[in-house]
Amino acid sequence: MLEPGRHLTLGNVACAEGALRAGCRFFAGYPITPASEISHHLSAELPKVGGVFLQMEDEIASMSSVIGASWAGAKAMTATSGPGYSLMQENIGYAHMTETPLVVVNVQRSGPSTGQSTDPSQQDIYQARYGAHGDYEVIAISPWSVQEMFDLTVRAFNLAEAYRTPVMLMSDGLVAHIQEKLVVPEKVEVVDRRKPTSKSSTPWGTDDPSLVPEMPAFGEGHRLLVTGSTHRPDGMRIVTPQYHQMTVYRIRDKILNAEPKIRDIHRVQMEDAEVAVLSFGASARPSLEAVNQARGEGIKAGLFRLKTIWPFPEEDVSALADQVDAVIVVEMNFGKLVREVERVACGRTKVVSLGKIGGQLHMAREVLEAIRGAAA
Amino acid sequence: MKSLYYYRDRYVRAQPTAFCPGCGGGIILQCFLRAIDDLGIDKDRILAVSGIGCSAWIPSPYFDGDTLHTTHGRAIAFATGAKAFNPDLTTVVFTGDGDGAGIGGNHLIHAARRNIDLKVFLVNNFSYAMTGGQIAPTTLHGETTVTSPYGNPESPFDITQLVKAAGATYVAKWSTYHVVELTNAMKEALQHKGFSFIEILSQCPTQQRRVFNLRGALESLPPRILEMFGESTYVRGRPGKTGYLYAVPKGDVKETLIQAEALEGVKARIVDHIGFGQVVRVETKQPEVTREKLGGLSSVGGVADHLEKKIEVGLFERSERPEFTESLRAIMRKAKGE
Amino acid sequence: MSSVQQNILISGTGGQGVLAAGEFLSDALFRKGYEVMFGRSYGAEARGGSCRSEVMVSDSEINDLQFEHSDVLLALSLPAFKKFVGVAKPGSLILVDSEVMEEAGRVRGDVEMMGVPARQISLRLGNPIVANMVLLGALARRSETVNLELLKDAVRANMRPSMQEINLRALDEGYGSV
Repeated sequence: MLEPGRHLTLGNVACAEGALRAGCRFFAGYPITPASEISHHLSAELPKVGGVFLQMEDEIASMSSVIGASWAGAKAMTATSGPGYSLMQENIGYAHMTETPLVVVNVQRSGPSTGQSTDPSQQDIYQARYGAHGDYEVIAISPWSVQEMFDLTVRAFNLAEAYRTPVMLMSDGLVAHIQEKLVVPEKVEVVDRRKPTSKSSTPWGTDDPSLVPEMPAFGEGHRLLVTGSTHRPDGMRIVTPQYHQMTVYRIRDKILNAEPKIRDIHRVQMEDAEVAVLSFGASARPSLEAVNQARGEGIKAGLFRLKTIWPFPEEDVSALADQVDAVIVVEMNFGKLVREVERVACGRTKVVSLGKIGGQLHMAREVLEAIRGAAA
Repeated sequence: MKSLYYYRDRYVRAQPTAFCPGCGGGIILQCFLRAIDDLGIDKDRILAVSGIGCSAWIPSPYFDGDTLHTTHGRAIAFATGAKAFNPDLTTVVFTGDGDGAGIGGNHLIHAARRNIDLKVFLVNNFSYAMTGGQIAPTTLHGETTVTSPYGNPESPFDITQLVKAAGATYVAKWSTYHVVELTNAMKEALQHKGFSFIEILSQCPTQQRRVFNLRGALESLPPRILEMFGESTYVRGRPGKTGYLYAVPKGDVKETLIQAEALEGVKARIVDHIGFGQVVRVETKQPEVTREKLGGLSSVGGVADHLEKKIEVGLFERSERPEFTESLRAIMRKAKGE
Repeated sequence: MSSVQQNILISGTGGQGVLAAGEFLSDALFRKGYEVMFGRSYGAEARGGSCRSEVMVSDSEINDLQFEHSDVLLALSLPAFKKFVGVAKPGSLILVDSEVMEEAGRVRGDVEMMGVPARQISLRLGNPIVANMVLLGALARRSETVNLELLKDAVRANMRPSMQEINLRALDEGYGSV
């Protein structure tokens, strides 16, 4: 592990370091560019802290074993990229239904299919939201720097444990593959799993207003009935409409009720902004540069960066729509998150999509041009 | 001998089970419960993992220990994660032929290769039973299913040989006919350190009616299929029963029986045979002479000896090599510089 | 240096130490307290063909991360030179192996292009792998940001002792060659 202090570090290494400090003690993955260095680093570091590193036969097995390990009591993680992320979706759905805390890192690369396997994209954000079948509410957060590869990995684990849910760390091939400054703090805040004190608990039901049940582990005498089928609070399979609604609504609502706490928006120069650049992940970096340059030109521009993409922060985006004359949505895809912005803005502000594909990050000048256009 | 109530009260969470009448699932659960009870393994230390399909319901919800009922084909991969993180869990996997050797075949061979200490009980009922009896990777060539109405164009895996070749260190194959041997094999598997695999041929009166082309009243099928498993298997390493021949009928098996019974010095009866369907089993002291005579009968299409098209059961592998979770612990000690 | 961001592109063929040069340079600048962004060819992209290290350096936050134009281009091989010469900003500096320059010719009149006998010096020192360090030494001579002592510190900090001497000499020779 890196010592506390300032390091020139690869994004993927920062992610692995964050995981270790958050208490990750199980990792399973399958080699894939541009995520592999997370595996490399954890294969060396996890055993030193008594953790388990597995390279599985594919991403389906990786996701499966992470869920198995989580129920055995581990803070567990996998990391992959687009093709592997697609393979994981069925079991991500299983993790939602069984309320299994875990972290999935998706270092997004440019698709569809093999596409530009080494180049970054932000094309999987809807796969994160809707990738598995069925209805559920997902937490997805997106780092824009090497520092945040560390910080948000820690947060991903904390959210996963606090809400007993899979959390998606939506990174990209750029943030993952650059080396820049990482300041490792002396201490990070860590949230641990809430475990039941008695054996009569209902692992899939709770009276707690958080709607998050306590979570026992295998081997502790709880005689757990973990199943992806619709189940009663004690785990017994029962597929009636009533139980399905009760279970699936609660699993949704525990996330939606906590949305204000999960919400994480980074605002720069937004107080008096008339043009907002809404972005997330790596593409928010040139967006910030462009905002600064626009301010230099006297344009009242601001950056509205979503560190939490899902649940989508509707309240804040709605307020944003009332505040500014235009929102430019900068993302490395055809224009995806812009749909959410349009839906929430409901015509109250001009919404401009600045999508870009091809495996290249936006240049600041491209964003600046869009800001000038919107301000004109 | 302990009563069924003894096992039910101690180890079974819910009753009645959802298995079809005559299903092999109950027999397999019973063998497993007897095995852990005989070995004195605390059920609270057992994690039973399963996937999707009828086999998955054997432990979940019926086994009253920790259970993990997972997605289709992935039970072994889920179990790998749990076992690797907590090697103290006695981790067993109940899977089926479709679940374990079809959709989950990759995990099966890789777990065997790793020699991870999982006890995998693969219930082979020769079809995808829960979904309606489609072709499975175990369905025999030519058999009719709902997706092979003209006969199965594919040929089956020999799962036992596959898993053995992949590196499992305990491999056995039994059927629900062999309850004592199966219980003992489960005990051996539970005590073995390493990837332990038992293929269990199991009866499915609901779907095998079609798969094995069995005619007759539904309630007659379970014992008939069990007898068929007995008839169609031989135990590896044990001298086979000689003095048996099988007359495969050209047309009506009853006609073949009448003709065969008329031969001198033989006992003949109709039996179900996995490889040939309904045949006439002919017991004789002079196999050579009887074979020739049978071959000459107008109703006989072919004569098979006592081993032809039969399935070998028994113990196939028992060896030692580094076990995966132990290797992982050794890596931890190495990484820590111990 | 001023707060202006400087983009340095190091290019060559796989095995010429392009990535290592990028790492040393980044490390040296980072130690000095600069903001540094180091990106490079990865995986399938780095198999065969040309590879590159991108080093951005600034004394304030770097956010325009897409490497568009170089302020300094270092080229160790002809294919890499041909591939990346178009990336150089007008008026920027290109340091290229002398033999490569001879073959390629002065294809651009709008940049300052200098030949460095990197390969030649490395062979004289006994190992062609240090040609990258010769180029970095030359860069240290021509750049206000990169200085020779910083590079030497990075070599001392990151390289195994048996390889330090030849690399330090390569830096010195490169420094003296332009």
